[in-house]
Amino acid sequence: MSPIKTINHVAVIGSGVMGGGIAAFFANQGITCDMYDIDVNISAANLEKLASPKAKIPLLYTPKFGKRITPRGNSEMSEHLHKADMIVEVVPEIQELKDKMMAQIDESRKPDSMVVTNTSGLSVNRMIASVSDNMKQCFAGTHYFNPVRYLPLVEIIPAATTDPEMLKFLEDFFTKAGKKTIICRDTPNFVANRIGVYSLMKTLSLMQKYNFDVETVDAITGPPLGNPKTATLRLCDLVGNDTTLHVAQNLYDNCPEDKERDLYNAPPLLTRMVEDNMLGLKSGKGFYRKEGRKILALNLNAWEYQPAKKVRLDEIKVAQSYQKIEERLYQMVKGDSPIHKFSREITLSTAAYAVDLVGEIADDVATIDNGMKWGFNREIGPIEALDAIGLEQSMEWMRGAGMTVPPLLQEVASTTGSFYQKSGTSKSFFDIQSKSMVPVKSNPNVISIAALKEKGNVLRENVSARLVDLEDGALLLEIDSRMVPTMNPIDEFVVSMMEQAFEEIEAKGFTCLVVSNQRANFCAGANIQLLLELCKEKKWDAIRDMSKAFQDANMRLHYASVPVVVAPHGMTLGGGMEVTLAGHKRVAAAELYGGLVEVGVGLLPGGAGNLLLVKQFIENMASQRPGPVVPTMRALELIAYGKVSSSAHDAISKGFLNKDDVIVLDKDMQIKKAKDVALEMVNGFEAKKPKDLLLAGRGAFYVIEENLKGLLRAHQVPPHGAFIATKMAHVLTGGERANPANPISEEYFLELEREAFVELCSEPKSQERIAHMLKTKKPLLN
Amino acid sequence: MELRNVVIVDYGRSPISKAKGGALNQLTSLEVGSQVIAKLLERNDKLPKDQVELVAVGCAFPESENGLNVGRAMVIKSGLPASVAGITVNQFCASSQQTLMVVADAIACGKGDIGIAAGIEHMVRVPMGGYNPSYDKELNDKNFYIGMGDTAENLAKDLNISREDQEQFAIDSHEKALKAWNENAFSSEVIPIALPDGSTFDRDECMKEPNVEKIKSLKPAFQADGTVTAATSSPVSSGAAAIILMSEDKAKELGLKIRAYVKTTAVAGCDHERMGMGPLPATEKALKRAGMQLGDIDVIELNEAFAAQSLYVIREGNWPMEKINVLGGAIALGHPLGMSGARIIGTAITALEKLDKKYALATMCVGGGQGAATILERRSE
Repeated sequence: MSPIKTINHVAVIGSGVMGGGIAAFFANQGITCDMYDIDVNISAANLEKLASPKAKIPLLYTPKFGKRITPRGNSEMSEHLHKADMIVEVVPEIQELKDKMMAQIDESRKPDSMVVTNTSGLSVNRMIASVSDNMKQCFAGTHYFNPVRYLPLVEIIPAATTDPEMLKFLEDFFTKAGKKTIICRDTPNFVANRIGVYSLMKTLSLMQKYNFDVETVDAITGPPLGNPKTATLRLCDLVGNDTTLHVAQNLYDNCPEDKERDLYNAPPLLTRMVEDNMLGLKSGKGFYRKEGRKILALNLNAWEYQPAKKVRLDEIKVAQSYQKIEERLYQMVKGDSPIHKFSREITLSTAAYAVDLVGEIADDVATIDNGMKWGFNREIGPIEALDAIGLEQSMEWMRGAGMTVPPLLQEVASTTGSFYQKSGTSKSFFDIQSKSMVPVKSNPNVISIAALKEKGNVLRENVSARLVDLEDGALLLEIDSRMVPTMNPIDEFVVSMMEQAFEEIEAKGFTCLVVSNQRANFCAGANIQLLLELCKEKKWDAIRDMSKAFQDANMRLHYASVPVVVAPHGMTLGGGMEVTLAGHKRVAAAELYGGLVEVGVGLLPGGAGNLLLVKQFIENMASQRPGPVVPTMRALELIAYGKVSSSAHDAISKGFLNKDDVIVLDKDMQIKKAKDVALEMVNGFEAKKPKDLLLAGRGAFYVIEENLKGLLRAHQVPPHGAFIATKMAHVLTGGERANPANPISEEYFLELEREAFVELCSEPKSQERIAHMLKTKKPLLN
Repeated sequence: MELRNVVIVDYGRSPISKAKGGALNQLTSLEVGSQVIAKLLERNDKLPKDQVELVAVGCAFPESENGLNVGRAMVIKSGLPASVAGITVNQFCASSQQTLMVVADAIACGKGDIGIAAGIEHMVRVPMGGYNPSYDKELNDKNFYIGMGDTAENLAKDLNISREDQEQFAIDSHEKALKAWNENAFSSEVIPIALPDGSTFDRDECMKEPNVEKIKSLKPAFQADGTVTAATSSPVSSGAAAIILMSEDKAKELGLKIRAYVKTTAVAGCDHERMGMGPLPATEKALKRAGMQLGDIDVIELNEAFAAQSLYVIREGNWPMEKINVLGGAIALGHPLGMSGARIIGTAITALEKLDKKYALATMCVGGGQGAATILERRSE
């Protein structure tokens, strides 16, 4: 007997936040799913929320994938559970409930079907004490993190009886599905939550020790120390203080040997908060409280909410000037101010706690670091942090603070000198069994741009972009802004590098081009600050030239003699979407938030985005013979409302991507996939040729103009919004020259786009929109 | 040439389906219309199909699946012999009132003995305006393409027709339609439609128990400071209707029951920015042609494009409210544009029979500024 090897149909038992998230995860893979709850009305109601287009945190790539999920009541198990290749149990964390459910599953499942439990704290082995032998072999723990779609980690916890083949299958399956897995031992709270809860509890106790306020703690424990912006206390509010307290208590009760156990025993601050119903978001107040649009923070001494203040600390400012997390972290912990001391203490004690648990909760250091990076979105793992500081320095500071230096730390310091070592693109870590460095399992489907850079593959570079040799004849154009690294806006340097890419292609004979990066976002628009300055100085010619240069660069990509594959991910807005549209093929990350959102700043796409989008609609719809107006209308609807995709799948249904574009579930694999796709296209590649466009012209323009007037009369669009949309319609219908019997040239269309762009820039109300966006990060609806 | 008497021997229609989640969204207009004609012929089995001269099908947006001369397509799909001709007629909302005129006039002139006047519209699958709308500049400057809602607002302003009055008119329409359905009043005209999923669609979907609070809470649909709302406009809807016409002599020869005589018809133009007033000039012409007064009419089917538009006609023409739309109107039943002309003529017959009355007027306004009117006479035997 061996567990099933393919998953076509899944049953998820439990339809709450986690159950729904897990069901959505399977539905996103194209796997049908039965979602159970005590009563079918409950699971049906939860499914409706899950598949609602208005969901605040969409868990499905597109609401229509909700059709892949069937709501069921637990009473239907005997009839339907046997159809499932995998059964995911997500009932509440109560031992008796879990035991009862295991018995029920055992009774109704088909032999060899996999059964997994999503527990965050209970013992996996204990759960299957009394089930059949077949189920014992086909059973493991799989611990997802919330929200399932957005946090990559899945902890896999094998039971003593788990078939090794099933374990291997799970690792493969999750990797293909874009998840990151670590193998954990069956200990309370497993890996990520064990360390995470420690770090949280320690932070709370240090907060009181140093008498820091809520805002300061979050300012320090956020990005400066390599954590996401939610930092510590915002995360508490998100998770719920009652839940945290419960998880801590679980650790206290079940880890009698834990040296730091006392931290978990009814911590007074959290206990008091729970007593006062300050649970976090779920009760409307926690460490923070929202009052209208104002954010208040809890003053711990006065025990009342006061307007949250902006924290500006020199220590943080200094650290943030360093790009690399290792350097930033070092800057945070090295000095002697209270901020430095606090940072040092939380970093070193978390690291020591983690090092002490290697071999107990997981086999190796990499598992623990990865767990913290993938489960908590940290930039650096707790043990990696020790390498960043230096082991000798770390030990010295530990001793100075009266901490016990973990034996393993001493051992590593005296043997290999660091927990990790890098040579070229390969990385190894200290293995506690062999007491030597062993290579980190590298994924052949991942290409790291950082590693290529270290290898010396950078060919050209400026402040906003870079050309990197991807090897095998492929060239990478990396949009990577040093000034605005999270947004990577298009600027003159990016445009210049787009041009230079072709010099490299010609000089060195590259056979294809990939455009991408490995930052948080592909490219979230253009430099509107600069644009606003040009507007204020009335430098219309400069604006026109800027638009023309970007148009030319995108059209050059589009008509390149080698295949161009664009690999967008995350925010791909405005200029980023225009570059995406220019590519011959896209290899998009599933998490793609793409759109032409220029309307939000009072403009229309000015880098050939209108042309490329309308052309794409014309070509994709050609077989349906839609007539000259339909492609224009489709493009206009996206651009005029500034629609943004909620995923790559949604980008296909909206029309930003083509049906044959590739979607990659794990962003880390995107560059490799894009390179492969580009190389495959090389043989027999024919450059695209400009083609005149058949557009509807004035007749359709008047239709749109009248419709907009109607919407304006009904107050369904703001006045300037209607004005902008009219300009867009002018461009997208092909201006004065187009009519259904008279195709226009792309050049003429681009001129229309450029002139409309300049014209809108000169509109005071558009300038107001830009200024408002810069100031508030929100669009002005004037 | 002496004109012959033209009579209606039967009339049938599909139930009208709503836009969102409507039952007929699974079918094309061609399929719905063909089912209506086929079942109508089935229940008139004395009628020799090969003697049908023409099927005229009205449709306001005859493109896409309603393109390619859907009238001829319907001849073949409804099982009529290939020898029967088929045409598509477009006069927007009056399209199938106009098909009756085309067929009736031909029969009156002796050009054929039997014909079918039908109308279809699927306002979801082929939306209003069509897929590739294009305007003429000169006409656009004259506001020729004015939105229908805006024409209703104009009429409301002209006569100060309050939002409350419009809402009451709409509420009455729903209540009359619900009452008619409860009393089975449409049993002779509604032809159940077989759906692809195996179910049958047999009841109009748009009318509902009026929710006064909701009606009052709606924002104006077309002009922020206006009075016309979604509740006082006819809903986007889909359906098909067909009328069998023949010469009086042919009906008698075949032994078919004569339901009504087509006494006369008329079309007229009016200001396109006030298209809703169209029934007034059309009715005036028709009455004059028939040598009648409005007071002679027993039953009036006035198509309810908008409550404001209907109230304008009623007030301006001093029409008797109690004779109008006794079985409910388009605000409650729906207004699938190309279907409605045949529908109101057919429903006028239903009303005449129910009330045992003699004369009926079916009239409607038309986008672009027109009106159409038909006067029917029911003779007791």
